[in-house]
Amino acid sequence: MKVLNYMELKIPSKAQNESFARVAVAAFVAQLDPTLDEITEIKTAVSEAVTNSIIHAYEDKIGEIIIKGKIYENYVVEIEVIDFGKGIEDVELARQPLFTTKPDQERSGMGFTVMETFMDKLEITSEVGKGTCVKMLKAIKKRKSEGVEN
Amino acid sequence: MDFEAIIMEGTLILKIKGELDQYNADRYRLRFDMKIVSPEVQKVVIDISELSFMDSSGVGFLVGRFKTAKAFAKRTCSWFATSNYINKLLSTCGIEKLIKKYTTIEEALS
Repeated sequence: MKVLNYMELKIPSKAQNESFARVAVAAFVAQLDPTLDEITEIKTAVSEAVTNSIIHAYEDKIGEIIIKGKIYENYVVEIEVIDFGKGIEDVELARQPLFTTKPDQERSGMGFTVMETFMDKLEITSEVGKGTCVKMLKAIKKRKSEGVEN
Repeated sequence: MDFEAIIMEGTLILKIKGELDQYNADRYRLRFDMKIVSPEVQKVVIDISELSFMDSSGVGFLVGRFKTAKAFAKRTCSWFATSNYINKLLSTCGIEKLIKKYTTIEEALS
């Protein structure tokens, strides 16, 4: 697929940046004229991935999070959230609904499930001690080009 | 994020406005629990009709507040008159099995 546009952001893993990250990604995706539901779903998925990097990958320290966005042909959006934190030992287990390594902290264990539900595709690559990359894809429904308003 | 706490005849209504994510959950957890455990409160209603954004950390926060209420023997219920997207998030997270859902504040208070 041909890349039509792209962006890259680098932020420290501070909780205040959760809202900045999702709003920045939403602003990037806005050029495809998504519906409010589509944009909110993307914001939620980004928020989940960035929160994971802050809470789990870096825990008590501050590290760097890189967020990459790409727009492909046919209104496909790709978002990558990359950290260099502690990594995930068992990715398949981490993807299970309600799985959490921090049950004492009111964590719902639903982060990856929410990303899967709200995006079309979710790929997680992780190496213990090196970091994690979460790649998500979503197709935005064409509206502008067909002259259809909803 | 911002919130309003109103006590009406023993019912505490916690109205959350704005964005409920992990950052805000950590900032507001204690303040919510202080209201919930107050002796004059018999019933807790959380109103999320003016919530503009929530993720799974927000869901964890809501469940946590209902657990506090339960631990202090308060009757709990919830008021969800929200967007499709928040309903989809809540059902994805299975919160509907844990917390009653209402569509109007009158229904939640009765």
